[in-house]
This record gives sequence, C-alpha cells and structure tokens, in this order.
Amino acid sequence: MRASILLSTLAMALVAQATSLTGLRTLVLLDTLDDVLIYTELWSDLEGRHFNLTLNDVSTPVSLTKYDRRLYDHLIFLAPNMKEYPKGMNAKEVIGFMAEGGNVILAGSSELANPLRELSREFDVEFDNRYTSVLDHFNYDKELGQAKHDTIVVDPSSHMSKIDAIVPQDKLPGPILFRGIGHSVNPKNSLLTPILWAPQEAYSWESVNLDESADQDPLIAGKDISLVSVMQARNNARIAFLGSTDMLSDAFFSASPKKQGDKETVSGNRKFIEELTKWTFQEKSALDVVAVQHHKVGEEEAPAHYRIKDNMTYTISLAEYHEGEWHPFSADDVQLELIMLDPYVRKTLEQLELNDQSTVGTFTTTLQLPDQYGVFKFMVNYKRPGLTYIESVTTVGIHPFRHDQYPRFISQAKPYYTSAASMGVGLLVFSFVYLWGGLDSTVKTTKKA
Amino acid sequence: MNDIKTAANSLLTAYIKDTPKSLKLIDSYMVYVLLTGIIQFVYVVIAGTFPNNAFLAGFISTVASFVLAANLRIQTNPKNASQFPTTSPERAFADFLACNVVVHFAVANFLG
Repeated sequence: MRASILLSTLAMALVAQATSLTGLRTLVLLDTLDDVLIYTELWSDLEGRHFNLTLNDVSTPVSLTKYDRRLYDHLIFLAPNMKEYPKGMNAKEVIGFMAEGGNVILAGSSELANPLRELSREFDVEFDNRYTSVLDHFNYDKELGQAKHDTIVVDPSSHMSKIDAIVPQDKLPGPILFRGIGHSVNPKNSLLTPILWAPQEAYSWESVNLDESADQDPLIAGKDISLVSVMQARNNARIAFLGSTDMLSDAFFSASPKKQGDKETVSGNRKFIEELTKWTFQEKSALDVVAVQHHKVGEEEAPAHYRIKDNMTYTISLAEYHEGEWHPFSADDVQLELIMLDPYVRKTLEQLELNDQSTVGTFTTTLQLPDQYGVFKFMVNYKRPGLTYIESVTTVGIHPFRHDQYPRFISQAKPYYTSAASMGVGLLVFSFVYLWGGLDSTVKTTKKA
Repeated sequence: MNDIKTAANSLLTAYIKDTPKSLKLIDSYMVYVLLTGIIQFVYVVIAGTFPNNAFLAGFISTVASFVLAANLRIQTNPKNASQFPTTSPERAFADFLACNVVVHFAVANFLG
C-alpha cells in the first residue's frame, strides 16, 4: 500500500514536472519509418519530457484536426523528401493547425521537396534551391565533412542569436554541427528570428556535381545564410525552421566536432535541439499576466472612473513558465502606455524586489493622469523575441472636473469682479445724487425749454 | 501755446458757468466709468486674458455704463430738447435705469 502511494506520488511529481503548456500529443512525419532509427536519442529525449510521439511515414493518411479541434499539439516534419502531403493534410491545414495554437518544427535537407518549401514561404522563410548545401572550406568538420566540406562546425558564441529565452549560450557544451540546406529570412518580418547562421566563409551551392566549377555567384553566402530560424506567430504559436535533419540525428548528437587545426570538442547539438524544442513546444519562455491592479494613490480599490490629473498607481504581475512551473518574471523594460488613439503617457514600470515567497514578478508605477478626459486604455504591450507576446488592456474612463469642482473665485480675476461691483454701486450712488441731490432746477429748466 | 492755454481756460470757464448741474454729475460719473475701464484694460494687457469671461464681463460693464450714461446725457441736455420732443428727462432716466438693470444681470451671469 505504502509503496503504491509512493509510486503514485512519484508519478504525479513527474507529471507535475512536465512540460509543454500546449499539450503532449506530438505527430512526427518521416520519409520512411526506417528513419526512426536515425533519431533514437531525440525520441528518448522527447519521451523523457513526457511527449506522446506518433511516428508516421508520409504515405499514412493523417488528419490534424477533427471537428475544428486539434488532434495533435505539436508537429515535427522530419520528411524533407516529402513530395506530397499525407492524405488528409495540406499546407492550409498546417497553417490552420498553427492558428489553433499548435507548434511546428520543420527540418529540411539538401533534398527538400516542394510542399515544405511552399509551407516555409508562407512564413517568409525561403530555402535555397533543391540539391544545394551550405559548404564551407574553412569550417568543415574533419570527420563528417571530409569528402564534400558540407558538414560545418558553427561556433555558437559568434554565430548564434544572443536571445537567451530561446537557446541560452551557456548551456551548450560545444559547437554545433550542421549539414544541409541554407535559407534566408525576410528581415522585415519582425516575428521571425534567425537563431543560427553560417560562418562568414560559407556559401550555398549545389552539392551534387562538385567537380564542375562555379560559373555564377551563390544566391546566398556568409552570414546571410540562416541555418536555424524561429517564428512566434501573433497567437504565440511557435515554429522552428532547421535546414538540416542531420542536426537531430544520433550521429550528430554524439559526434566530436573538430575543425581543421582545432582540438576535438563535444557536440552541442543535443543540448541545442533540446533547448530549441523546449522553446518551440512552449516548455519555457512562456509569459502570462497573472493580475492587473490600478487605483488612486492612497486608496486600495480600483475606482469606477478617474478624474483628469489624478495621481494613480498601476501594477501588473507577470509569470514565466519553465521547468514545468510558473516562476516570477524579471525584466527592466516593461512599459505602460496610456492610450486614447495616441499614447498620452508611456512609462517604464519598475519591478518590485523578489523574495523567497515571490511567485510572480510585480511591475508597478505611479503616475499623474493627463489633462485630457475620455475613455483611455492602460496597455502593457510587451513583445520581445523569444517570449510570449503580452498585450494587456484595461479600459478606464477619465472624467473632467464637475462644474462645482473648480475654485469658485479666481484670484487673478478679482479686478474684474471689483469693476463689475463698482459699476453697480456707482450706478446706485449716481442715481441717488441725480434724483435727490438738489438738481431739480435742471429738470425744470428742461421743462420750460 | 498761450493761445491753447487761453482757449482751455475759456472752455473751462464756460463749462463751469453754462452747464447744468445734472449734466456735470453725469460727466463726472462718465469719467469715473472711463477710468475703471482703462484700469481693467491695462490689467488685462499685463496679466493676460486667463479668466476671459470675467475680463469680458468687467470690461463690458464699464463700456455699457459709459454708453448708457452718454445716452442719458444727450437726452437730458436742454440744448437737445428739440430733437427729443416726446422724451422727458424723467422718461430718459427711467430708460437709463431699466437698461442698466439688464446690463448688470448679463454681467453678473457672465462674470463666472
């Protein structure tokens, strides 16, 4: 009995330690089911994080949604040769799957076929022509890339994005191995973030007939070649593009990358893929607004409405999800905007100090409302690459002064009050003297005339 | 210069001698009103127009008082009697008072 309780507690602890905010149902599409054996380490990593993997080859019919509900939470494309989507699936379905909040990992290779190219194009990611590879005659791996110089060693300290929310640099034990196709991302698309790019000397060229000399410039070269990019859609669904299925393979996970003339190192691929999948599958860097409070200075409750020029305090609590739990979020760039069509006030919120009991990060500021009445929005619009987009809107009314809330007499206008009064008194005095001041003679004179 | 002095002197003498007392009273009242108006105008130039309604009310009260007093003076001047055959001085003064009441109502309302 005790053992079973212990076991169930342990199981619950394990479940609690998990994992993805979206869910655990994962569909993996492979070119053939034989490829399952290439990625055994990946499967065990994902299952260790409690994902339920469904491994399908591309000839098996599959549907992503049923009755407008997602049947899977995550989708992994490890099928670069896929000429046609499996029956029951198409690009529109995949985009609809993301619109419903599903996350996608799309891995390509030199043989990347049309359907996945077109799908990537929907996200402003353009893979280079078919049968091209990223080649580098300086940074190739001594062992895996000896023949074609197509397995390149990428140094994360200089060729990886510095955004720790996605792949933190200090967690990688060594350089990253890459063999596959390069892509370019539209720099104008602010939702897209390149994570890994090629060394300066690399270029993207056909890897089939290497003996033929090049007769034109490569389409993309050097740092313009993105190797891994990610996108977070406006609904916070995440997608990662990798130019290389080999990056995820057991062979690359356990390789010892060695550049010409360098020492042997440990491959960072396993950790890189772990962090990348954690990010993509919403296991980390997910933010949530826990509470929004606002009140006048010296009060506790939110008023029904404010009055112009009131002093008020705004507080927002944010939590960040990682390691299967919500933690306090820390940042120094959360801003509050007070908007009526235009922002009237924009102020950076200050974070309260965290202590042991903190479960949320609390950001607060005290400000004076503008001298403008109307319906305003208190808005925290916090959008940073790698983090869930936060858009918290609180609508409040700001009233003008009532007629009896103004000062009754304005000291500046006292001369005018005096003048008006003196005109009245003057009239009385004048009338009194005119009528009873002994001026009758005049009137009589007038009458005679 | 001397001529101007002589002319001013004779004007003053004639005014003191020939003008009826009631008109002199109206004149002094008008001078008082005029000075009040000028003081306010100087003040608004220095202090700015901020309570604009109060300034307008105060200034308009002086202007209106001045105009009404001028009307009263014209209508009660014996020399103008031929122009106002139907208007007795009593009637003119009654008009003057009635108009002043209206003016001061408006001013009090507009003062703020």
